[in-house]
Amino acid sequence: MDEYLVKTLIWHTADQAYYEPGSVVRLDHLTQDEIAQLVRDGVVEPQQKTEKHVKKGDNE
Amino acid sequence: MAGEISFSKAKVEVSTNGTTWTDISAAATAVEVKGGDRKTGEAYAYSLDYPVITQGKREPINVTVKALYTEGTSEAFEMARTAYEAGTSLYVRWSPKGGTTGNFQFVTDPGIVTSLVYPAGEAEKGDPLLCEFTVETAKITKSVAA
Repeated sequence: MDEYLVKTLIWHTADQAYYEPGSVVRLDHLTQDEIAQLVRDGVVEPQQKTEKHVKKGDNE
Repeated sequence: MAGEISFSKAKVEVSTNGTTWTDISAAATAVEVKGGDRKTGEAYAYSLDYPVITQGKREPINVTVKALYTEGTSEAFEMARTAYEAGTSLYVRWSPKGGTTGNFQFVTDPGIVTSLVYPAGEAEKGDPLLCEFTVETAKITKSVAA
């Protein structure tokens, strides 16, 4: 599930809650087109996915 | 220009707690916003031909909602009447474009119902009965429906 950084105060219609700028939310209830429009409008920003670095060898 | 809109498809909601909202769009007929002016001060110095203007605080905002008079407990008149008579908070929220994804919404801080127009009218007329209430609030905040 993708997460998005809130850039301006939003009313999350699925959670029925306000989220302040800086919050991280999921927008699973919206279509990709709707999310893309929110991103273009600067309302939310896709969160950068951080890859997990697995150190191999310690337990081998 | 593009994106011009009218207020004819607005969504209007009220809430007693700012979390649970009641859509009164089917009854609301008008929203009016007044006040909120920012106070300023001014002084004139000898060497200047113009004033020095300083910024003060914003004044309260009055949001007046006109609505069809109905008698349901979760409808505009009863919610406003209850808050008015009990002296409890009422929030108002409206979205000029209808409140769908990406639309702006304007929401009041917890407000005080300062006036309420009770049902009244003349026998001769057949117009729908209207009610009206005014909420005084500290500020209005813009959000985006998402």
